[in-house]
Order: sequence, then C-alpha cells, then structure tokens
Amino acid sequence: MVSITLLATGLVFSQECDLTLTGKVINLYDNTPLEAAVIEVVGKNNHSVSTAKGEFTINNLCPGKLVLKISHLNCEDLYQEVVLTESTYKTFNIEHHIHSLNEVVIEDYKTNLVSPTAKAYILSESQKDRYSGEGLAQALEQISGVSSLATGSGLAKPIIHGMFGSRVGIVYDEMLLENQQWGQDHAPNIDLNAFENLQIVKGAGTLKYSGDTPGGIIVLKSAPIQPIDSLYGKTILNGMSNGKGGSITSSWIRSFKDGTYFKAQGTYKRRGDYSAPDYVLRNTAGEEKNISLAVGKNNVGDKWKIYFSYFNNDVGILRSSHIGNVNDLLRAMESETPLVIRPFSYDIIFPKQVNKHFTTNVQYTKIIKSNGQWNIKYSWQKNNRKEFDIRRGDYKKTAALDLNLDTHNLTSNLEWNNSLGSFDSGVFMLIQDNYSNPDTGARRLIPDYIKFKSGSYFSVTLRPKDFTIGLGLRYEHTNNEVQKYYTTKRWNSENYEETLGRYVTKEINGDRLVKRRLFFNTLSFYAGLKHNLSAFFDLGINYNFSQRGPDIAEMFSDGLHHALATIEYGNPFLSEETTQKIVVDFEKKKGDFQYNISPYLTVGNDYIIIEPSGIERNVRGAFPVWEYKSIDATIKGIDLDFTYAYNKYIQLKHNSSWIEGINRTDNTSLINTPPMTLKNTIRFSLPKWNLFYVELHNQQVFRQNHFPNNNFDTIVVEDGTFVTKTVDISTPPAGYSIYGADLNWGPYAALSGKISVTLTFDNLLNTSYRNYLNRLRFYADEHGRNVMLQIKFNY
Amino acid sequence: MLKNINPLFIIASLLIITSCSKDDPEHSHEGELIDKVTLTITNQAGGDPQIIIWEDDDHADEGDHDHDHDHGDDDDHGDEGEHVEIDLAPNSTYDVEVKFENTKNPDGVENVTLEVIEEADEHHVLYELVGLSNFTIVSAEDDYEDSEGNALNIKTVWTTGAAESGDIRLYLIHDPDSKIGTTRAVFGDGPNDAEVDYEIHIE
Repeated sequence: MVSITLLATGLVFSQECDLTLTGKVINLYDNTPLEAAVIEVVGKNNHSVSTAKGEFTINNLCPGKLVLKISHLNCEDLYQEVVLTESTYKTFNIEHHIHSLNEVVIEDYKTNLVSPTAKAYILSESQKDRYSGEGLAQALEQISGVSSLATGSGLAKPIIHGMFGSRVGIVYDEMLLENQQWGQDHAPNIDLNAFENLQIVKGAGTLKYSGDTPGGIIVLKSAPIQPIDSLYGKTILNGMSNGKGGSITSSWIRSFKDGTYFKAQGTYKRRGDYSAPDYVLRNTAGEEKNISLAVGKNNVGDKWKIYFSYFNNDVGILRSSHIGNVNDLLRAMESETPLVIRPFSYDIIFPKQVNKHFTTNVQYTKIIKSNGQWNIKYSWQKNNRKEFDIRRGDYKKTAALDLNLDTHNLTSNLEWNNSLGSFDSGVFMLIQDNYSNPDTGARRLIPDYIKFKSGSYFSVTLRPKDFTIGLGLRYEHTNNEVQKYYTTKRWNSENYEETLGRYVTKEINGDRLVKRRLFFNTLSFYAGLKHNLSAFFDLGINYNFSQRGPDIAEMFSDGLHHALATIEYGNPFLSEETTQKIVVDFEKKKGDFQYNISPYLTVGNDYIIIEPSGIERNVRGAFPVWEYKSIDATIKGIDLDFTYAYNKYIQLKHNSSWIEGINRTDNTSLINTPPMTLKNTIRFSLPKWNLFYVELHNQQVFRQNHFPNNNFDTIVVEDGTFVTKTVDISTPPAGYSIYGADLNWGPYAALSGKISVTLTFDNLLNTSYRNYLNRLRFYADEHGRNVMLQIKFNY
Repeated sequence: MLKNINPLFIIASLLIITSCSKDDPEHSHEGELIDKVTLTITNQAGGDPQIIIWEDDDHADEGDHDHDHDHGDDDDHGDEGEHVEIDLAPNSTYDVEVKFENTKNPDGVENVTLEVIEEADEHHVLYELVGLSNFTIVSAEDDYEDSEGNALNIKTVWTTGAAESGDIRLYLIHDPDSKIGTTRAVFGDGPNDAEVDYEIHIE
C-alpha cells in the first residue's frame, strides 16, 4: 500500500499558475519511502519523480481541481483528484497490486522474501492470472530454470534446476503441501487462484518450511488484508479453444475497520478432449472444483485466522497411453498417430485420476513490541488420490489405486526483524498417516505407513552496510512405521529372508507382511551472502547443504506403471541423501537493460534415482523392471533473465536455461534432465492507448542430447516371424520452436472496479511437437493451437 | 498466554507420540490379473485332451534365483520366458479352448474367462502364427460372440497340414480398436492382458 502526503503551497485565489505541490510517497505495508514513483498531472506536461526519501515537488500548478496519476513499477497506477485551494494535508490509501507489466518482477521486499540472500522469482498478478484456467506447473514455466514433468496435458509437476517431486516443496499459507508428491504423474493438488502472491526460490531457501527440498521452494501466499471497511475481489473468466473448455474463478474479501475479515474464493474448470495439431487426444478431458474460505482478525497486538480449502479434480489420461505390456508400448511408439482417431468428447472415461484435498488451518500470531512476532499454526490436510484403470468384471468401476493421506502439522515460530537484521526460529511436529485401500483388488503401490516427524530450525539475517548475510540451520527427526506385503516371488528373488526375515509378522496366501520402523535424522544448513555492489549491481552467492530421508515410495514402491508398462520396485535399504548446492546471482537491477545471470552447481551423494534393472516376464507379457538406488550425481547449469526497454513502446524480455545432469556412479547422464530452453518476448504498446499492448513470444527448446540409454529388446511377431526389436524409451524427441501472442486491453475502469480483456494464442502456428519431459510423449503430440479469451474484473 | 500454551503443547505431543502405531493392513488380492492360461487341446479324431498350462510362479518356493534368469521345470509348465511346447499330429484337426484364471484369489481360483465372455464387446483373443505355413486357426462353431457377431476366439479349431515347426503367440486384448484381423497391429490400442508363446511341433 502506498500513501501520499501532499502539501500545497501558494496563494489561494490567484488565477496565476504558480502553485507548488510537494509531498511524500510512502509504502504503507512496511512504512518505507517509495523511490522512483512518478507523480504526474494528467492532461498537463508536468510531473515529478520521488527521491530515495519518497519526496517530490511539482511546480507551476493552477488552483482548482486537478487529477494526479501516481505510478510505480510495483504498484497499479493510482489516479487521485486533488482540489488546490489552500494548504491541504491528505493521506491516500492505495491497494498495492503488482503492476501488470507481464515480466518477471525481480523484487526485494524486506519482510516478505522466502530467502533474504537468494534471488526470489516472483510472478506478477497478471502473469499468474494468465494461467488461472490451467495449473501451477504451467504458470511456473515462465520462470527460467523451471520446467514441468508432465503425464499428458492435465497433469504436470514443476521441475526446478532438474529436481522434482519430493525435492521441490510447495508451501501454501506457510504450510508445506502434503500430497502424494513422489509420483511422476502426481500433479500438486492446489488451486493457483486461491493465492495472490507466488514466488519461488531455486534452492532450499532459509529452511523455514523444510530442509529436504534442494530443488526449490514454491511459496503461495494470500495478500495481506488491511483494516479498512471494504468489499473487494476479483473474478476471472477464461474460454479456451483447445479442449473447448472454460473456467471461472472468483474471490471476495470483506474487510472491516476493526481488523476482521472474511474471504471466500472458488474456481470451476471444465474442458473436453485436447487436440494435437492433427488429431484429438482422446480422453484428456477434465474437471476441477475448488473452494477456499478464510476468516480472521488482525489486531494491533495479535492476529488469528481460520482457513479451509477443498480441491477436487477429475482428469482423464490419454486413452492410447493405457497399455498392457512392452509390446503394446512398442506398437504405440511405432505409430505416428493413434490408430483410430476418435471424435472430440467431454466425457472423462478410464483411465483417469480423481484427487481430493481438504485443508483446515488455524493460526494465531502475537505481535511482540513492534517488530517481532510469535506464531503458532495447526494444519490438517486430508488427501485422497484415486487412479482408475481399464479393468474387468467386478472391478470395472473400482479404482486401482486409492490412497488416503492424513497429515497433522503443528508449527510454532518466533521471528523478529529490524533494519540491522532479522531472526526466525521455530519448532514443528507432524504426524502423517497413509492408508492404501485394499478394496481396490490390486496390489498396493505404496504400503500403509504412519510417519512422525519433528524438528526445529533457526535462521538469522544480518544487514551490515551494503551486505545481507543469511545463515540457517534445520534439524528433522523422522520416524516411519511401514507395513508392507511382499510376494514370495519378490521375497526370494531379492533374498529378503536374510535381510528382512526378522520383520515378518504374518503370512497370508503366500504373501509376507513385514513391519518396519525406520528412523532418519537430517540436518540442513544454509549460508548466503548478498552484496549490493552499487545502485546498479547486486551479487549474491548461496550455499545449501540439505539432507533428505528417502520417501516411502522410493523404499517400498511395488507395482506396474501403466503408461510405461514398467514395474517399479522400491529399495528398502536406502539411506539419507545429501545434496550440496551453490548458486551465484549476478544482477543488474536498474536502467533500460536489466539482467540476472545465475550459474549453479549441485552435488548429490547417495542421490536416489530409479533405473532399469531387468525384464520380468509373466503370463501378461514382458515388462521392464526399474528399481530405486543411490548414486552420486552432479547437476550444473545456468539461468539467464534479461529485460530491455528499447524505448517507451517496445520492450524485450528473455529467459533461458541450460542444465546438465550427470550420474557419476554409472558415468551416464541423469534421466529427465530438461533440455536447453530459450524464451523470448517482445512487447509493443502504443503512444495513445497506453492500456493496450501486444506481445509476441517464442519458445525454443533444443533436443536433449544427454540422456542415459535405458533401451531394451523385445520379440514381436511380424509377417509370421519372430523379430527382435529395440524399445527405444531413451531417445528424446527433436527440438521445437513454438510461437505465441498475447493481446491485452486494460485495466479499464468499469462499474466500480476495473476490467481487462486478454486474447492469447498458444502454439500460434499449430506446430506438431513432442516434449521430452512428458511421459506420454511416446503416444501423441503435444497440444496444437489454443486461443484463449480472458476477462478479468477487479472490484 | 505463552505460559499457558506450553503445557498444552507437551500434552499434545505426548498423545501424538504414543498413538504412533496402526492396525495391520488388510491383505488385498489382485482381482482381475490373469496369472494362468490353460489350453485344452482335443483331437477331433479322439484321444485324451492335452492340457497346456502357462502360469506365473509367484507361489514357487524355490530359494535363490535371479529374477531375469530363465528356467523351466517340465515341458508343460510355462515359466518366465521358457517356451511351452505343444506336440500335434500332421493333417489333423483339433478343438481348442482357452481358459484365463486368477489363482491368487483367497476365495479360490477365479475363472476370468467368464468375465471375458460377459464383456465380449471389450475383449478379443488373437492367435498369431509364426513360421507355420500349413496351419490354420479359425473360430469354432460354438465359439462365443460379441454383440456384433464377431467371434471371441475362446473356442477355436486348429487344422494342421504337413509336418513343420513354428510358434503361436496368444493374446488377450482388452478394449481393442478393431475386432477383426490376423495381426496384432490391426487391433490397435487396447492393452494386452495376456501374451504367451507356444512352440508348436507337428510331426
């Protein structure tokens, strides 16, 4: 929020235009002066720019009514009417929205950062809202170094610096999201639209939320609600041509002067099958229904909040990706297009996923003096994941996977900050129960377990002149009790009698039930330094040491992954993995040409990956077997972002990333390493219509030439003979270049709020391409052209 | 207020720690997974039928063996990669019936063939011939059909000619794109719920 203090001087009744207006621009949120705000008199060629102390002076003003426009890079334009009659003192409250400039805002607000020394990449409101009809992973792809690992169109999860799944944390309203994040085809069960602020740190951050996410932390936060009488919010309507779908999301906030507030928000999305350029992608329809509610009160001395949210999606999985065995996979890979092209439909048939996520949070904050606070928060998350396959008989409509994950988390922390530095220390306790429903009639993919986790962290930031130094330490103790059934076949082939025999509690029908209690103690440490070299340049260097205990899935996975006809087995003897990461950020943050260069190096020891280990043949055919194991890995890369304001009407934006992943143990490349990507955008605006702009985009993805060879052979029947063929699951597809365009009108004043309209073209040239990071790339092309119309109301 | 919270915190944590154990999970059996395929081959001219079995050896308690090492015990028992042999006489006609079973059901062996027949529209049995030129397989008169009259190939008639050797690959295709054809590719998308090879010796 910005407040403007105006002081008018000069004679009151004179008709001469010799009045002077002086004032100050203040960012109310942290009570600091706002530098580089432009204060101009609308309709007159008269303006001033605020100094480092927020002060401005405008001369030669006429008495009477005038309209001021106050603009700043990070605020929405404010128009204020002022009547100059005599010396007047006025305070204006302005809602602080990130300016819709559609560029990644490289920003540094003091109290809001996930990490004070590492670069925080923040999506502006319009950048985030652009994806209100899609999902979190797609929205994050705008950021350099971030890609998505997808299983078809509707299911994508973020990859940051080559790491995904349990190595990337998603924090919403200060709580880590607990859903089945281990699976490659498990998208985060969260509604992007429920939160106004989205930032990511590529790396472990300050260790405030977790110590085992060396890939990165994605932080979703609600905007602070001010103690004023107000009813406001936002509604976004989207219509998409590809999938013939639409979505609506609406949020309403009622705030009161005494600090009480209510927030209600909901999203509904529905679409039919997506289309590739040449054919319909059968069974990629989806539906999503989300709601979130919050009530709270912000007093001077304390604050409390109760929050509830529900997320529900029903997503079809490309029909032609449901295969039986390896020969089905080969056949699908050999045909360029699906054998039978089905017509478009809104039906969601099998195979599909249905996910539900409930969250209930209660939090209390006590303000200590003026710059400290003590927080306590309890969160209960309930996640249910059902995966439906093409089944037979009594099981036709039964889910093949039905997992219930219940997590209770109690966290308390003490934080304190002032101009010299800040300090944050907390403790937490978590209990998590995973129940794998046996009524599925399918072997449990992951077993039942109960996890108890507790720990504490401590981080301190110091701000001596021109430097910011950050240090953090986190300790976590994890206690898992797992109960798993092993088949006799697996028991014997792995010789588990010797190693796990003593944990067997009973035998049923040839399967042995093993009960194990596993303890992990992990320590994580962070050290960062940021040096403000000059008004133009910043240099940052961050070091993270993270330890991560293996996931239940990495240790006890046991089942067939249909889309790849692959059987996966966990490794019950894995130990903690240790990752060390160094990230350097060199930033030019002022001027027409601004950039950020960020090289990084990650070294992993006992790094857990999954790799092929053989073929299993049974009555159903041949299946490659992949098993989890530990290796030593190195991931290195460089991210580059720059913006160039060529002139007032033309802006260029670029981001690119190059990354290399190496498996040092086996001397090969790491699988699923994102290929080198370049993204370019050019924005044009017009002199007269400054609320309209056109953007042209290009995304160039190169072919990934570094990949491990996990190919294997199979025997097929062709022309009445047995033929040995290689199943090439390793070779990445060709590189591609995709064009897009955005046209934006607004925001315009309408009714009592603002309206803006955006027309977006994705894959403008309807290019056919396949994406290495899409596990379903063997079956079909990626989406063809999509035309999206978005209407956004702010009120 | 801080002082009041602390004891509650401790009590809550003790309660959580002591309740850190669960009931044993129920054993689940894999419902419709086929793990045994049986061919009953009867010479139309007379004699005892041959029973040829392909079965997963999940129940075998044989001690150490690598999971990708092929081995077979006797000729009639299919096992990971081992071919199963069928001996047939030349110039003869055989009635053949295939049966698909799930042996892991704790209530007793489940005959999955019945479900296949019930869902005839979504299943098809295909026999692909490899290196056999004097050999034909056709649907039997009393074979099961789907709602459009397409034969399911549960019951087939095998006719041999001169002596030769070759293989037959049997597929159970679930939800195929087409119901008619002689090669697997024609049936398109639709997972293989069973795929087994038989070595045929006609002598």
